[in-house]
Amino acid sequence: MSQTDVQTVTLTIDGKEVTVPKGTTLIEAARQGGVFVPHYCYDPDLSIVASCRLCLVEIEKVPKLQPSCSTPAADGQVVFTQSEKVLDARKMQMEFLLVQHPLDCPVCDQGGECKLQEYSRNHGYDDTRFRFKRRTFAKPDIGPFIDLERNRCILCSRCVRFLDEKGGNAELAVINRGNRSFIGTFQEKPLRGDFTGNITDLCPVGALTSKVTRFRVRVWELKDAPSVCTMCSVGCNVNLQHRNRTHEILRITPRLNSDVNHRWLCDMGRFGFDQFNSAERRRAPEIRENGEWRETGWAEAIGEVVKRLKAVRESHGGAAAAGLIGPRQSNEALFLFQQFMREIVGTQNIDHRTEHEIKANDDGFLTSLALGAVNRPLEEARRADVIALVGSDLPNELPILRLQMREHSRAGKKILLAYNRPTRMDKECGVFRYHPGGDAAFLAAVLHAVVKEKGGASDDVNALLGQAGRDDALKIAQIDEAKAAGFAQALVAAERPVLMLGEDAFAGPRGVEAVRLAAAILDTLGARHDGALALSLLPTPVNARGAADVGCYPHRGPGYEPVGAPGRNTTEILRGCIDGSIQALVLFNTNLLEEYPDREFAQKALQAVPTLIVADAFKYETGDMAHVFLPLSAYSEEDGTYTNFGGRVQRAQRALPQLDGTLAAYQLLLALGERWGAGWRQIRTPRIFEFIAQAVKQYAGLSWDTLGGQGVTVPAPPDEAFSGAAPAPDAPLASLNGSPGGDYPYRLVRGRRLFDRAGEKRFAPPLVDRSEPCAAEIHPGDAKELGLSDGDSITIRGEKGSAPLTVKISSNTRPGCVTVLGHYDGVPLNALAAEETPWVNIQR
Amino acid sequence: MPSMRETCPEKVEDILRRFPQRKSASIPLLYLAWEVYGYVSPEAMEEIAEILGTSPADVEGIASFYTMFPLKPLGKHHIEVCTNISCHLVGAQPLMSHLENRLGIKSGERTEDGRFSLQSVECLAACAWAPCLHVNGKEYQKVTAENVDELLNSLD
Repeated sequence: MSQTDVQTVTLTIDGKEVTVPKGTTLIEAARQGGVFVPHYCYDPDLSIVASCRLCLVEIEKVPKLQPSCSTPAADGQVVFTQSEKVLDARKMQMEFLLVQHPLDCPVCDQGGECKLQEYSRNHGYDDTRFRFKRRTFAKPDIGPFIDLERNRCILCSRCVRFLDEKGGNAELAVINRGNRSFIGTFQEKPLRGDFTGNITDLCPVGALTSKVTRFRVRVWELKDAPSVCTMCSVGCNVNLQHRNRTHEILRITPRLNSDVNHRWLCDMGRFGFDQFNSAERRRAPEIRENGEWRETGWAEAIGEVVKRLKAVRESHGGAAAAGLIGPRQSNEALFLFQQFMREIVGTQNIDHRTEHEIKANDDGFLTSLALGAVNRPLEEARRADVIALVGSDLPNELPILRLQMREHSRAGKKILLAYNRPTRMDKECGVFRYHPGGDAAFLAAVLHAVVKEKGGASDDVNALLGQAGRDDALKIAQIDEAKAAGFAQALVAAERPVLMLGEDAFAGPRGVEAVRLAAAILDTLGARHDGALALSLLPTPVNARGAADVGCYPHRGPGYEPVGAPGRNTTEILRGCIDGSIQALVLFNTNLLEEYPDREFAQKALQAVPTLIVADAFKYETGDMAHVFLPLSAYSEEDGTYTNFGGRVQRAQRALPQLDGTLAAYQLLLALGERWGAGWRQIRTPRIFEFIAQAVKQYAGLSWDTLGGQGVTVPAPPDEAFSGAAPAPDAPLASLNGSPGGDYPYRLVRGRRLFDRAGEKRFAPPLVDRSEPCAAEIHPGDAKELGLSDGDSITIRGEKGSAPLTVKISSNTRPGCVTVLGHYDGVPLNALAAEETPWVNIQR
Repeated sequence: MPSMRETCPEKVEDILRRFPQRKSASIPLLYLAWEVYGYVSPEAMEEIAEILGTSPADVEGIASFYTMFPLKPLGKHHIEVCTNISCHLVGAQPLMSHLENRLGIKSGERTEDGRFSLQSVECLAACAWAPCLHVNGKEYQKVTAENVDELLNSLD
């Protein structure tokens, strides 16, 4: 819309002329004119209730004061926000709001950032004239994250409106009426939403505060470090609030960035910070000799690593060494890691994909880039009118994207959600359900329907259709043709459809096929904009995109440049450890035993390899198998850049100095290069980022400074990086799927859960408190057949091993399946069966 | 306990049909819950939330806003005593105190055996025959601390 299309009104506020778009409220018009009107219940992101009456202003020719939050600006209005009448009313209103308030500021966590303190100082009396008994409430317990102190509440209802309109299921309400009303959950049950922490930001007083931070710090002791959250790949902008004196991160608050998370955070990102303060973090390098661990200094540990790697290089050649790095490190660490392995150790055996068996080096993600996918989920969703999600349990994978989907849905956009079980966002979507493992088959069925509906399929699409027959697809996905046609029709009818694939679809065993099918659907629809296909993949690890961009692949270097002779991928590296062709393995920031889908295989490999070096913040079971363990700093203790799933490169500034005895991953890699005699020396993050900007074409011209506080979105890699890349081999869907039977009649389905005990989450006690118990979900029909009831102890056994679990009967799981949601320490689901054949049986 | 949709599906449907905005059916459904369960139980509020596609907290907010919805189980004989001005002038307070002593409960409570519940209410529109009270909606006039025992004894 151009400027001239907007109707504007001009009014006078406190003697100043202001021109604003028609429909703007007075409070916003005042703000734009540089006049601040105090308020409690008003919030620009929530609906307007005009109940606190603090924002009353005087309008010329209007006899009574009007609430500026709900009065639209009009042409020629003359508004006073500082007249005697207004100031008097404000003062009285403040007195009323304070009638029941306990004035317990010295023990209140809000003290120092409290609007009640601020406004009573600026606009009210400094004491109260109320001489009667205040009403008091017993303290309810509404869960591990939020502390509710009703005595301090002024009933502005921001929290109620946020959970209703934005990030929840209206879990809070105003209970009772008049002077007896209070804020409460249904029957005082704990809050169970994913975004409840935001109400602590919204609460203008001390009624809702963080239980995790409670009584640990006064807010004026906290310093902000502008950073990004590393719990998922959305890359929410945050402030790491910390206190240097005690070397603690004590609170995480959102940092406004309307291109990413706006001002919201999920509870996982907000309340997980105690992992950085954990006493479990290692503080000294350790060397294992004759089965005994010995703590040592960095000089010796680094010398030992260099000595061992050099020995391998001299006796077996560089290609006998290999390195795996988790996609959770910063771009700088990931870049230096592949640089160290390639240029110094002399090997192309590098990978960051530790969570799946790698079948083809060009996996689903790289295939999407080769096919021209735009891969910008946040922007694409904003532009689209129909958003189709396949293979993603979004609420459990990328919470803030889910929050935005809710807003898109409320704005009238159509959201199609295809997944193998119900999700927490089903209410907001058109729901399509297919059988677990049937992600690619579902897409094939949709492709058939789209072609039927639209016609004009290209030769490539026809070839793909020939390989993935309609009947096979419907059978494997276990859906009706009409359902697939419904999905297709919604896409065909859309003006600007976008398709997003979750990890289940693009990263699993059928990932490449799923991406090719999705691309074929969009191609047939003609869903291209500026040459880019309206396809976005949704990886979950924080820096999955960064790891790819800087070249942590065996066959592609920085900027996806193909390397001469490809090295080995994760699966090949582990195989090499077992057959002796890999003599040294370096693991950075990956608990391979928990992450790799075949635990037995990974364990064998780690046992067999003569040199295993593990660098991580926590030791985990993988660290226990190492010969040298190197403790890394937390990301909160190092500067770094992270690239989110949409290619947005963002800075995370360090909050605290490094924990004594730890090194940042990038420092460790530089130190290794220095000791090796390769001419490396310690440099700082901005300088490393300069090297990245030189090596990675899409990052050209970027620098630590130009990234600024809000980050920069980089373009997709150029097509020539993928020219000549062999198309992934296609295979008919059916032969790839297999089926359960014989001794193992059930399919093990590993679902997602936001609050589980995966990785570092187990070191944040509030997240552990919030996590739901680990259970095996079984369909009521199957449970009846097996004679099982809720809470029974069972053993799930597969070809390779077994795990003890408790039964939870639920029709969310399909017949013939056992679903376990989340990752839990002590429940090694990757030890039961291979990823390709997840067949198990159930024993009492 | 069977849900409203099980015991009286046609009544639920009838209420829903009357309101183009689903949420507007909240209050009629609360009345129905009172009728079916004898009070507005937490389970009933959950069921109403499910029927309307709102949240249980939302329904509790509405149910508790209107003070006359009973949110706790009532006695077999639910006694509502007017304590408004006309009754007050001619002995509503002694009447209330007597009932509280006799039944061993305060206003808003129920006896342990579940026979009686007591509630002070505003005007019952019988000022000419004050003090007055209701037992399960039936009006009794000119009830005083002195003659109320007779009434109580007549209730089984």
